[in-house]
Amino acid sequence: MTTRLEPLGDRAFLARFDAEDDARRWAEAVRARSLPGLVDVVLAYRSAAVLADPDRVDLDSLERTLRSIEPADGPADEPARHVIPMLYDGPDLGDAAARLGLAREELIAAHAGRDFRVFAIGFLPGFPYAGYLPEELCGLARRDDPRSSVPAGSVAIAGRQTGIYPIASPGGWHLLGRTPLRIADPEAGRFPIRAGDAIRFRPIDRDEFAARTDERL
Amino acid sequence: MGLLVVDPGFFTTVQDLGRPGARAFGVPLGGAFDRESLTLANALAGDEPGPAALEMTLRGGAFEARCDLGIAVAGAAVPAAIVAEDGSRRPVAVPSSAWLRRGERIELGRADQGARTYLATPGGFQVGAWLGSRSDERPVRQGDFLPAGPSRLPCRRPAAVDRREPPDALRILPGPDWSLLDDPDAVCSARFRIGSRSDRMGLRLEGEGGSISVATTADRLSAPVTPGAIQAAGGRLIVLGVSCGTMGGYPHVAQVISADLDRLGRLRPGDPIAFRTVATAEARALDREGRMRLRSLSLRIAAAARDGLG
Repeated sequence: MTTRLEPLGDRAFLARFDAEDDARRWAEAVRARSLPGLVDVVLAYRSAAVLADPDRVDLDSLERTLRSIEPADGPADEPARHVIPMLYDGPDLGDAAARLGLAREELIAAHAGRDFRVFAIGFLPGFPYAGYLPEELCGLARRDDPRSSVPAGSVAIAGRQTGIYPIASPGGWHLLGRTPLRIADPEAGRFPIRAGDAIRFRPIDRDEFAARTDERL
Repeated sequence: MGLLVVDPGFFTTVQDLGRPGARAFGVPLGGAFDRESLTLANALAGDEPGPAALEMTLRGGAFEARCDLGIAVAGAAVPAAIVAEDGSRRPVAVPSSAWLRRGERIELGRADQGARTYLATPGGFQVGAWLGSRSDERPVRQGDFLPAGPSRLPCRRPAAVDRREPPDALRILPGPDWSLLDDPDAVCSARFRIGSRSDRMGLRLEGEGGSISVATTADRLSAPVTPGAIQAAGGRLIVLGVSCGTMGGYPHVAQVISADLDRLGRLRPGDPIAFRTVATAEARALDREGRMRLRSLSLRIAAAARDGLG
């Protein structure tokens, strides 16, 4: 398979693939090469952007190098996996279950019972876009009236995806519950969840939530 | 010690060169929207590019020195003066450097042209940093205190700031979704104005005659974007600004070349703009030229500022 690479402006390149996993493995392969002059390797779904510092690398030669890298060059090992303890007590849990035609317990079992892939980090520093949701949880559009403040640690769904708010922020997704953990500390530059990783939610009770509040992931 | 915000102006933030290298974690670049003007202000303060300065948008404000404080201003021209405790005023040109005695204020008025004026001090304002930057998207408010060490600067206007007069059109490269445009020529033949809902995240363009339409792609996946990305949304174009998010969901039809990014930070609502495509090789050559020119300008002016103190 060839890497479809095109310029993204004059200091970056964008590689596009047919599958999320090809993009992930290509991005990992690029990172593993530790090429000089790379500023960022940003993975998002089926694409990856490589941002370069033109003072430190010749962009034509970087382009040739990037073209020569293939997804198959990426690490064969499984991506990192994070288990996220989660209290399913969100303000939208009942409403989301009703609109999806599920009992609360069925919604929780469907959301917690599987690994999700983190396709991208964005919207907020450290916010993982993960999915894809199983069919029975798909299809809730964003809320018509986004909340002006969603608490840090909130776990939410929209469309085919689930995400975690690392910090308090406005938000339009449906809130299913909360993790007690700090999944990122942007101010300290700590972002344990990376695009390409896997996450899984584990239901916990109020006691465990209280005991683990503010613990770091 | 530092500067007290007496009047924050219209929208004034603390900015440096932002947080490059963290887009993979969803962290926007941020920092000064007009980096050349920040660099010039830093240089007039005797510094290399980067110490945190105030970025004032459309209108300056008033700031009182709580110690002797060297200041340097650059960017959009605004009427400015230092007001002494006895009420006497000494005019300050933009760009130039000067110094405030403890208790004196600098007052800066409205910009008639351009959008952003920078106020720097030697070593920068020491507000809180994270990920290596003091850049903050929240505007300063009346009564805020901006810590800075005491300093003095010669009153000096830079000799011939060679800000090359740019061509009328912003130069662009085709973006990943250029081929989705129904009529690519329309991007360069149409005339636009900067819409009023424009900010550091992005400039919303209002078309003069005809909208820009793209082939609709159901369920387009978000993809990485950087400042200067031009997105087509609902018949309109949005040019992403310096603090734009790291991913975009709208078709990414074009990209402003790096050499023209600072010009985005100088545009104000109502300003006309047009686009012109260039080749990638030309864009890279212009980028290289611009960086070299700015580097030598910065070195020369910073050296003069330091020499001026004797």
